[in-house]
Amino acid sequence: MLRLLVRRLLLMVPIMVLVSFIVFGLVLLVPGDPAIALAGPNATEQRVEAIRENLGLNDPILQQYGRWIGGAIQGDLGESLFSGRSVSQAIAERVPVTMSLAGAALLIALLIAVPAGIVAATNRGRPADSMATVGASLGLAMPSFWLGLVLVLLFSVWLGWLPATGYIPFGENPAAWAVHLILPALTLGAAAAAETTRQLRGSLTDVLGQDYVRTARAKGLRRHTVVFKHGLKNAAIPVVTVLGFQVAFLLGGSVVVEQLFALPGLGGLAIRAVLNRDLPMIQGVVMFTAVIVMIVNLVVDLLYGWLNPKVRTA
Amino acid sequence: MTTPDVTPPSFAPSRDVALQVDGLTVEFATDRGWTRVVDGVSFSVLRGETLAIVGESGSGKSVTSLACMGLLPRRSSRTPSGTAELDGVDLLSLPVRAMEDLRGDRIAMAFQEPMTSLNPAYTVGDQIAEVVRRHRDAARKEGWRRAVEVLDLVGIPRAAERVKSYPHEFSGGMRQRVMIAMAIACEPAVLIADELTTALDVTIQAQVLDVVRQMRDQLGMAVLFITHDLAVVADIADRVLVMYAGQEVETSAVDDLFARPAHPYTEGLLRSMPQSSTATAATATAVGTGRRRLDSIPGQPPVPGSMPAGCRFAPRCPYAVEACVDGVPELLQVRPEHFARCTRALELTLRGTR
Repeated sequence: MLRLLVRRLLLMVPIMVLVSFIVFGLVLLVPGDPAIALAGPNATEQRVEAIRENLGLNDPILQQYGRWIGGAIQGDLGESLFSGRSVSQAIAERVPVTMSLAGAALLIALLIAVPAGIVAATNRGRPADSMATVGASLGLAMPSFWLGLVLVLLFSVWLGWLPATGYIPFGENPAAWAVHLILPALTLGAAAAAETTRQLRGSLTDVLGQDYVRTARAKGLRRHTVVFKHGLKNAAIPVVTVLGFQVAFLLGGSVVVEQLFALPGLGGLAIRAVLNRDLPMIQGVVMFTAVIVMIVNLVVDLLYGWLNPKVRTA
Repeated sequence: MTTPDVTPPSFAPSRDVALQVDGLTVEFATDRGWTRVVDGVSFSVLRGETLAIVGESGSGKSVTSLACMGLLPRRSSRTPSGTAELDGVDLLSLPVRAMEDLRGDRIAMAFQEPMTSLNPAYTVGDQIAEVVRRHRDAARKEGWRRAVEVLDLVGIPRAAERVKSYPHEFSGGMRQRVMIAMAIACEPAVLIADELTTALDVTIQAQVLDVVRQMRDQLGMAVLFITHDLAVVADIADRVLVMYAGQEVETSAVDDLFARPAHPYTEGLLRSMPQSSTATAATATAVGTGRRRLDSIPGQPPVPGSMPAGCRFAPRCPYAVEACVDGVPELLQVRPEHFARCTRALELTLRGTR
């Protein structure tokens, strides 16, 4: 297991370098000149040139990259071109919001998908299975911006049970933090729940038909032991893969959902940065997200090793 | 050898019946309604004895054993008649939970294909200890100790180490030993071995059969050995039950069956068996050595749901006469302890192998 961890960590290094190249390459791909945008509409040529010189935009690309990556390794992602604030600090301020949202969405997705998938797989062809399957199709078919509006209409406007917008930090009031997260997390997690339900239903159905499940039954094990011990651990292997993807989707989807529920997360930061051509900010947010996704993949790989002993020695 | 948490082997007289099956009938749900796949099979297995059930695929031999284990799918199968008694309890009419209590404890099953029949995600020790914990109320440590003990018993070297290995870390023969160890962990009265040696090559096969024999003798188990391989039958069985198209067609002590088969189907099976003990299949088929040719039974076994009228083997039988199609044959006693379901059983003299 330790060997697996070390191998995967080493593998992350070249991927990280590649990602940083791509992220930094955004500078070359984004149309427009940040110096012009920064200088304002009526600036003179000399003023723009001075700003460009000041930002180091005239230096060779590799030199610029070296400067950026050198800082990034130490946690310094540069300063925003507009507010002059530290990019790292801006991200740090907003990370708790996005992580709370994505974490809660993942939790809700699992809370829905695991029971639904198990019930569907152990009741193949019965009403419970049909309900889970139809529910999963619905969950996948509904776009989050629409689902979010419907949920707000239902739970906030008509029933008045839950707040429609806003975010309360956990440290301030944990209960309010949770209450404010329910609707956005449900909105964001619906599609992940649906996809995970379908995956779990499929893989658990497959596993329950395997010879070793018959062996487990032949040993006289109770049905719940057969399903939960001998079924789920094997059925979880493809599900974990899907969950890894889902986390990346959740981070992407949080941009829309944060706007919908007025949550001050990374999504808002990213949108503003893009609109302003605030390159250091864009690079910072993208790099940070990429690192998160890589860490999630690492966790998925380690889970694989735990679930499937063959991977450990392979 | 036994631990306080495991029942000591029974020292009851070795000739008493462990499993008594009477008129077992199994039906499966198909598009055309309930189709009978096992039709009134009866047999008994004594303690310390091995009964082999032989037949082609589709003869109903595996279904018979799964029915005794209560492992047939509940929704798509049923046993409209018959009983299977273990210690005086009818397994077929037991409620699910009561059957689960007996399964793996009093009656256990070892399957073919140990690669797919063992769970790849758990160590073999875990999978063996699990049975002991389930049926003996044993603590985790006790179960683990018993796992080492039975692995050692079935001849796995360095059992104390190997107990922590996963199934994929064993060879095919060793995996099959693990499978047996798991089945005998609670010292069952009846062990069902389903095509146990099919996936193994011949030398390993002989070793695994030895293990089964040793365990049977040490624990006084009744062994029900399901196979299509007559060479294996000759090696391990005391008595044989030949199944064809869901029925028992012949039952006898093993020597008498091989020497003087009484059912044409059995004769056909024997003729299609290479004489591995005296010659290889190649020399057996060679012309001019004086040996008989290797034959196969012409035609295909009937499909459940469209059984021929009269004798089910008649369409493929070289000895069939009109009476075979007209009347349904009963099991006839040919000799003491030797029965055959053939109208002409008493008049025909069939060729055996010995």
